[in-house]
Amino acid sequence: MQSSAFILGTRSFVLIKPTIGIPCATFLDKDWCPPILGHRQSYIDAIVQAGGVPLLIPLVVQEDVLHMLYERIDGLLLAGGGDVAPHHYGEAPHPRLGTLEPLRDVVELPLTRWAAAEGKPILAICRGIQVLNVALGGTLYQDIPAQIDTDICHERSYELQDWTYMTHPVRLERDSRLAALLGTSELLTNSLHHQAIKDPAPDLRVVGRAPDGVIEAVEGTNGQFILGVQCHPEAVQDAFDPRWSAMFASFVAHCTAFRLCLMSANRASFWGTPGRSDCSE
Amino acid sequence: MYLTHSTFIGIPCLHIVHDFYGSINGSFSSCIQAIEAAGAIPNLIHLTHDRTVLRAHYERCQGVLLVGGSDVDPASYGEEPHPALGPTDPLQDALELQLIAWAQADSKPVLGICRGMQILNVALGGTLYQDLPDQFVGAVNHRESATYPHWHHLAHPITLAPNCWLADQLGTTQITVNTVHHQALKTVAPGLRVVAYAPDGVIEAVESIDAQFVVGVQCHPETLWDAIDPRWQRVFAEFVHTAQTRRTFLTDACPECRQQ
Repeated sequence: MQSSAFILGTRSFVLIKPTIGIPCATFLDKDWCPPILGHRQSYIDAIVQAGGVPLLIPLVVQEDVLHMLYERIDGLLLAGGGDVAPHHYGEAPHPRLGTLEPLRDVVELPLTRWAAAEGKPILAICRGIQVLNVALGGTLYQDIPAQIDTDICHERSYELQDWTYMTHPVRLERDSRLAALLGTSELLTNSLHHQAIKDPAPDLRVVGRAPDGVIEAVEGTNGQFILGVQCHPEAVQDAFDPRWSAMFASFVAHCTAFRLCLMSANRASFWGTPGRSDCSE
Repeated sequence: MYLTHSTFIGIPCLHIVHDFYGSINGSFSSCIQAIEAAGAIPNLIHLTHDRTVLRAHYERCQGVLLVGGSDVDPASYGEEPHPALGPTDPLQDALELQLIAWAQADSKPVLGICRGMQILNVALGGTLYQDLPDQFVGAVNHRESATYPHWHHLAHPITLAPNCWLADQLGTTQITVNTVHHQALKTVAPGLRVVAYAPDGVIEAVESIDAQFVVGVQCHPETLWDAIDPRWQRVFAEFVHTAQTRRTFLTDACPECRQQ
């Protein structure tokens, strides 16, 4: 938490940069080097541009270490990656199941549940929306081509190796948070996934679908900032489709608000005065 | 092993470029695991031009671990690039130099591994050999372990000074290490002293000459501590413990060193 105070006249304002946790993926660089834990620059840049401090969360193995990292973040960004192991949603592996990231599952699923329980804002992208759904009790299609009857190739931008290739339109619920942030209820998105949400978790509302019905966006139902998208807005928000930058800005703003509320609640509890105990809205 | 779970150790990221995923910030899983196993919380510090963001990370950390990456830009120690110089990353250089300066000012411990030791030396005023095979007559192959899985191959011995912190932790003055580097320390920075050499004379470890915890090793103990040579566990554990307690390491580890 970095803050700086400015005195303007008789009122003082504190500018706060919230810390946004981004769980790492594993990358192999040169074949003679050990694996690297980290994530794509585009996620980091999107958070910095929105005014946050990104904290890459390594794939630690001790839960108390993970919780110490969790305590330092004001919001959680679940990023892209491989498939969630199906046993986390009670299914046996499908033959077309892709690459798993078991160490990442056991970091991201608890982080998501802790954040959801405490009211910390969550923004979930691609694999992230799937992790979000599984963490809160939903299930996934393990392979879209094998399990859904559709004409749309949801991996098209990947096949073309082009993050800015707009594969299909997404229709959003008009009264959703996402539609309000983007200023539209229909837009074209890139698409780089072969899995998708099957049964949405009880506390998630489906707010966006592709023309074939595949779930493209979900939101929390209790006012907390929980937003998941199946596309990759971090790859287009800076230039190709800047409408998405509003989503990152709103996420970081909610993380700041969460932090301020928590500080105020802690102060109230310290002085024994009444204060908000619920910072989830 | 100390239970020091409130200790955050900053680990600056390196930058790699993947064919499809593009720019990636991250660090070696081996270093991250070594820090977690030593009882601290690994705090990856992504590369950034934003000093406010960097400072926020720095303030969360009680110590800094500098690890791998590109070659240090020779401009930072006043040399022209040698033809065998590898890729450089000015942003990683600048970020690490800033972190070292802050850590020095606040007496936060710094441990440098491989490139980490090299940039420590440059930060404090030393210079580097830009390419050992070309510039160091009689050098053995210091990239010998690169082709072995997990860099587990122990390639050559190093001889440690008897009165240094590192020998104290390892419990020996002679130890065989892995080696994955083509650069090395040339002129040692004024605030550092050499505490270990390879048989060919290449500098293998340095320590601060004053009470501040600054230690650098040229080998890769982060891939050795768990399976190959558990003596290195104590080096990581004591680094973390020093970060946690903010004690000045020479006071209790090595009384003789203060008298130099």
